[in-house]
Amino acid sequence: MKGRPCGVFDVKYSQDRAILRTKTHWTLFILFLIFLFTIPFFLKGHLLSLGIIIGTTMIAMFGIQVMIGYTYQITLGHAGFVGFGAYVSALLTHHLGWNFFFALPMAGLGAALYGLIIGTSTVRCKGLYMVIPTISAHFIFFYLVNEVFRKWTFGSEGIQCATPVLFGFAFNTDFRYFYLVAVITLIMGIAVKNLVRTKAGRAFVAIRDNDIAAEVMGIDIFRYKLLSFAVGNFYAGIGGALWGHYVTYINTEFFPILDTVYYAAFCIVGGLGSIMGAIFAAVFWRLLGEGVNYVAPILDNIMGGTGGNIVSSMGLITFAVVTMLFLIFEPRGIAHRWELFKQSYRLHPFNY
Amino acid sequence: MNTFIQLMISGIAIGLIYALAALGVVIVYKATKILNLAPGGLLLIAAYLAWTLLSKLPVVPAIALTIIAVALVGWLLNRVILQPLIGQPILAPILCGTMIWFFLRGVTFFFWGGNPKMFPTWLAGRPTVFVGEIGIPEIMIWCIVISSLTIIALMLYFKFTRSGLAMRVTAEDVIVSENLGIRVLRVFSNTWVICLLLFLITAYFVGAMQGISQDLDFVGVYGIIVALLGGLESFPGAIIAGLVIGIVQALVGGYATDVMGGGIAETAPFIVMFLISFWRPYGFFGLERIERI
Repeated sequence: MKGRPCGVFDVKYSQDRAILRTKTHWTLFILFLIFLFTIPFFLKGHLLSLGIIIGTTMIAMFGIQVMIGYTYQITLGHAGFVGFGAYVSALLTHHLGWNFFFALPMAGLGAALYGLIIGTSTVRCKGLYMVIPTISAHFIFFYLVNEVFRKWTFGSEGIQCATPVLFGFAFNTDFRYFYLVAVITLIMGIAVKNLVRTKAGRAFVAIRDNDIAAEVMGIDIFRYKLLSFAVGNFYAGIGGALWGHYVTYINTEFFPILDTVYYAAFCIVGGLGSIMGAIFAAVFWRLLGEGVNYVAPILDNIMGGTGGNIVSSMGLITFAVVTMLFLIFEPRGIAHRWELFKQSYRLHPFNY
Repeated sequence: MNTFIQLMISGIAIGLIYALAALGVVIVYKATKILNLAPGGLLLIAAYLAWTLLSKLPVVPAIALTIIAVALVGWLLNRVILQPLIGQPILAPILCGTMIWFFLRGVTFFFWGGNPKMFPTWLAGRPTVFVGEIGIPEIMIWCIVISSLTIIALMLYFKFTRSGLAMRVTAEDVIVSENLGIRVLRVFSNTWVICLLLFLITAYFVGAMQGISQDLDFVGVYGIIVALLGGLESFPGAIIAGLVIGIVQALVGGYATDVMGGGIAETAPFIVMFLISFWRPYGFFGLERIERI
């Protein structure tokens, strides 16, 4: 085994700080990449589209992980920011005829700008009171889309999102779109993993653990809180834009207040303060939703005569119960279990 | 002028409803330090239970049974879900609250379906009273009267009864009150029961004014926001914030809809709250915590 049975044998800081430290890591990573890029060959139809949705959710989840998991800015408006990004990209491609690949960063920046405006309230608000500005952001987004910019967004009728085209190559099938999402998710994932290891990331963690202590130590907390908002919502915007151009049609119904809560709740289920947690969260959320969609009609058949009530209500009930069980029995999330597993694997024949 | 008075009265009625919902949040926060994000779901279950019993039984036993049933729901919630979470990081019970909301939303949808329900006509079909040229729905007057009475009763309860006193002590310091021989767990379940009863009153009036449907939980969202705006520890704060939000909503809905579009009535409170969060980040009367390292 090329792992590390005990002790740390690094002799350089760069080895110590590397994400992939051992040969086993590299092997697994390359195997994972091969697996990722061959997924479209053996997953077809519905499952492939599920994979795409997981990818876009994961990008948005990275954002909320930076905001809640690393900086502890409790946000209940994430679906609004995701929608904001989706709308920026949709408007740019629809009305100005921009290429998707120019609109995508603009979607991120637009959402980040909106996040900065909302984030200015962190000058004085903190802790639980952050719920007010963020939840307001969600509803103000609805109002902006449905009333203020009605002329361009067509209000509740929704807007078409163009298919992304790169040098004449259209990402018009699930097969092609999967690669687009996979590549962007990988880039964004590596970027966020590195972000939280930089000076800014350490400042985030310091603010999370004790913001007054952080301020005393010379960290400009307002600046880093704003940065956290900007980064988190940049990710939300990118995820939203990718999602919007995949489903090709969006309106505000797709970004309900329920989703903002799910983003926060599944962030905890995945595990706060860990990028792995965000990945687990996105996968777990979408797979659970898929499972519910699969089981609910069957249950409806068995029970008979519920008139479709169970199909609509089972999602809510299952999500709620699963999350509550997690909060009660494993409040540190799936990522914590993953760490425990890694630990025991590393030390395999021994207990510690 | 007549329109203005009419709008003010409906604003006050709606505001008091929000204030009642917010009081449910404030009470729970004061006693247990949990931000109760579940009022949406709790309102739904209270409203549907009330509707079922009212449409099956005569008035008095129906209301009595509803009170018992709803109190039971509150007790169960505390016992099964929130008690195991004592001592966890603060985010866990908060998100548990939202999950209770979704769970109850799912449960009510499962049992009662998506079709809107109406309370019996003696409650929902109240006539409109005319004072001069101003038409006021009678239910709004009842709403104003009964919610004011409830708020007064609540304050008296906290001031003059033993269990109210115990609740205030627990709100101050859980460990000290436990050492003084107060049964903290019982205080917690009392809190949840009172919270649920407040939501029941809210549910009666919202149901009578707008009918009972899944959209009712929106009032719950306003309840949370109003509680935050008033300051999480403050009763008068919740009432004032509720009135502010209700009046803003009614006035904006009455005057600005033509200019600014139909969504403004729902959005205006949020814009106002966003702006207020700069001015008073701890709400109107919230305790400004002095933090030490």
